[in-house]
Amino acid sequence: MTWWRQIVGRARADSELAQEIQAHIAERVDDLVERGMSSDEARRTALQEFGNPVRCLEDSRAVWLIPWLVSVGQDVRYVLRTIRRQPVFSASVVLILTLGIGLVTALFTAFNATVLQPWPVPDPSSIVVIKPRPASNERYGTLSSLEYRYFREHARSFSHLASSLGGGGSVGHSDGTMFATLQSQYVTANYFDALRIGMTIGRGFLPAEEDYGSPKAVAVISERVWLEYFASDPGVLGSPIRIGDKTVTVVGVAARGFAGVRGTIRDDLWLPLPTVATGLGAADWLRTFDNPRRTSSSQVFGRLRPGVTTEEGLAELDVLSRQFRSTHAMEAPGVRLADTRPLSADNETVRNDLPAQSLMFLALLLVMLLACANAGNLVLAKTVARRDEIAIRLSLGASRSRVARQLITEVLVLSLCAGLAALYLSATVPALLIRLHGSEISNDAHLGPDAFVFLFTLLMSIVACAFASLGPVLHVTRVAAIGSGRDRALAGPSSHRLRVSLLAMQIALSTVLLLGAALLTRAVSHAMSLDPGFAVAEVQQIALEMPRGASADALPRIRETLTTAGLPPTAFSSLRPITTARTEISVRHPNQEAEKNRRLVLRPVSAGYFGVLGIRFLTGRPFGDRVNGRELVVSESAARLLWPNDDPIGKRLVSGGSDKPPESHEIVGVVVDVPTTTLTEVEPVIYQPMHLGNVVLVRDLSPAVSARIRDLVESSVPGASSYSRPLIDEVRDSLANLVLGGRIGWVLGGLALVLAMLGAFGVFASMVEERRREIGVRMALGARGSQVVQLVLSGATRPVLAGLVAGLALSLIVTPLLRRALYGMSPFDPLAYLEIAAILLASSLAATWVPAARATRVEPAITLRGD
Amino acid sequence: MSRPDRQDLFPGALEMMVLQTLRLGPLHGYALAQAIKRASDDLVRVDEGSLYPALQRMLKAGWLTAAWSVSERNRQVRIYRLTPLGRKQLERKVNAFERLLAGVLKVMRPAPS
Repeated sequence: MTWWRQIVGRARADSELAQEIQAHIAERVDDLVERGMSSDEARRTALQEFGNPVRCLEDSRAVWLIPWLVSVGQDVRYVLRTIRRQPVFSASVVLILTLGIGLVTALFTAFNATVLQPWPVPDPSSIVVIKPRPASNERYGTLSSLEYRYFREHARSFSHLASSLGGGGSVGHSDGTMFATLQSQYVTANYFDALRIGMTIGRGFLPAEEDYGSPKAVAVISERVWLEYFASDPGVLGSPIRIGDKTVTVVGVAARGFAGVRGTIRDDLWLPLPTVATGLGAADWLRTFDNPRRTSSSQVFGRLRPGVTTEEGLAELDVLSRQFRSTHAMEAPGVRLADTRPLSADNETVRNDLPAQSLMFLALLLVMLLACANAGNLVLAKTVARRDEIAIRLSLGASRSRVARQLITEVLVLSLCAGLAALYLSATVPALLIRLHGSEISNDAHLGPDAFVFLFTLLMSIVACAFASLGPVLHVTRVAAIGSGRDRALAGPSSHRLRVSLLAMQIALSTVLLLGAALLTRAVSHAMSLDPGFAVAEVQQIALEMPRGASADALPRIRETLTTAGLPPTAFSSLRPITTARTEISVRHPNQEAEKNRRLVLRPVSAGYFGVLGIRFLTGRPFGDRVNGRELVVSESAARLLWPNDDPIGKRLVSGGSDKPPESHEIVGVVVDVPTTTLTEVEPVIYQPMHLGNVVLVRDLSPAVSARIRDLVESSVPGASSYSRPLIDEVRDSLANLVLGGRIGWVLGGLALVLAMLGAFGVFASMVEERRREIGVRMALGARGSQVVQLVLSGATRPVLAGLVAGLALSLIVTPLLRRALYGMSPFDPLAYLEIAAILLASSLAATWVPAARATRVEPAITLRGD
Repeated sequence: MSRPDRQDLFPGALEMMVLQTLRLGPLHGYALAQAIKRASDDLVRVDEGSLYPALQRMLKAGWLTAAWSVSERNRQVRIYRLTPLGRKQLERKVNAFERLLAGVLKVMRPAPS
């Protein structure tokens, strides 16, 4: 990096020179003044004598700079000439490097978009969350909507005070087809204004849409939803979508990247706050709205006016809160303000995604290094072929460092080209990656290349250049200067060894990648073959949606209809059997204090649940099918947890705690453990009898049954609808990440393998080329074709075996990182190891076969004559 | 790059004189110019504008080293010092010059035959 030192050094040298010239003139002036000149005259004379100082400075600088500039110019011209002379070679190097750099850059772009992008809300520091302090009888402070409205009317420190309430549910097209379960928020009309979030198309909410008297069924969707489910069709404006039992009209698409104010939870849909009160019990709910003591779980945030500090805002709200509460004779503990750190994607998301992301990053980095090693191998082969030229240049007086610099310049030019191509890839691939990755990625704010991505690509290009030119440069340092044209055999072995070790490294790295992929893929089939403890393959689950304003007896009516219709056995549950949704129950032994409560997973199900799903009873019986029954069934691990040494049958548990009156339950049965969230996560579960659930389970996959159920549902409660889905699909969904990981692994591993095999082919093809004379001599002396093939293959055996062994050893270290994703399968699965070893050996054989076959076609006569 | 020098009689003369002057002791740029002028009884005037590029050339060639110091007038100046390589170069240049001079003189004042 001498050129770098030169550039930095030059800047200093220039200022030193200028100082020196000033000193010179000053000395002259002093001299002249001593001889009796006036200082003005002396200065004039001195300057005149000196001539033009700027010119002097430039001339001095040129002494250093011009030869350097000339040599750089020479290098670049030389490199461009070389590249033009060997277009196929240059194109292949660029292609290989593009592959490597492109993949890493693409992932970085996705990472940049998801993790490094700031919250898309302008001026986030002026947004504060308003948290009421808890009163003496409360655990958490609460804010009634009346108090919120009081704040909104009176607070002068805030330009906006907005409120939002969480929701969520299945969203679908108006024809009843469901497309996603999305998080939604019921918001005040000023929500988007407060955040200064504009609309990509359409409009935000109007003040009139915050009228509690007549809720308007309108919605704003996120740009992600617009892209994924409506293909960015502007026609989405004005079109109706279904959210649960409501049909609403889309009026706007929020600006790109905006995913709400809840940090890790990304919202994709916003509805006016009054619409929360449509549907079941709406009127009751609205009546409670004007009760100052009615607590709500809404979040209130505000934007401070410019120039108003958080303290001033806090002081005003504190006063307002006390005023409001004293008029309603309530305790007034005041409020506190939280900054918006919890709103922007906080560290938790980053922490959760980091292991997966960094593992992928590592894999891609490996592929990139592979690509670099491969490009290096190509360049090295070319350098070896150019040995004569290099030797001549050395003997004509070119310094070795100069020749090496030319080589590096050549690779740098190629890798910068590859970097440019990679930037293009990075603009297209990440959108694909994110799409594949699905909802896990929280914030697809910005997917184009930006300054970060640009810098990263530049860095990767330089890294690639360093890796790819390492081997060739090492080789150049060994080329003999004079007379090398004659002794080809002398320069061979060392460069060959270098290429062979690069090859071994490539084989090792592709082994690691392929093995990871093989393990993930095997883990999928392993997980699918796991016995979850229930009849996962035979059960159909049907979700019921009640119409708006359905009467309280709608669900019982449906249940009644379904149980008496002569269907195969059906069961009801409030949750799907495998779901990340979670309800808990807090229980204790009858003689214990409430503080000793344990929180366990609760599954409210109908008595038929165990039979339909085929969950086996270890002891006891199902609970009776009585409304509000006090009997419980526990899972095996729950039983072990609660009664380590006793038979749980007939024992009692007390549920409820500080917030609920205690209830006593009797244990009537113990069932085997079955997973509840994902296929492998088994937790202690308590099953409680539940009469009415909107998930219906039936042990029959035939479409006729689901059609029959739909008809029954729709005829018994007009407007109700049902969606059916095989349970096994749910299970498959829970493995989606694993399938995706395996797929990505295979693609990367396959690429790595192709690269390594191309490398192997190149190495042995050039080895055959170099040893053409030797092979010719051998054949002239009577060697048979098979012996020649053996000669080449024996050269290949060592690097392939060494690479394979090194790769397998490396895998033993790396694959335990995957353990969590393997669903209980060992990361040292011998079958996966064997599979990969076989793939690698077979493809190595194929890659060396062609050069070996070519060697047998060497014509002894021609080779010998050519010498 | 560097312009033809009016004061220089032939290329390299300035450099030779600088080397010779510095052989007597290290000097800074202005003192160097004055010393050459004095030593030649004001017959040779150093073009100060070309002195510094010449000094840089010689620095680059390794004939001189430079170090910051203080002049007699207490001013920050760069003091140039001859290196062993520069000394050798001087000898070579003086030899070549003397041969050249002798040749030129022979032509200009032919010895009586």
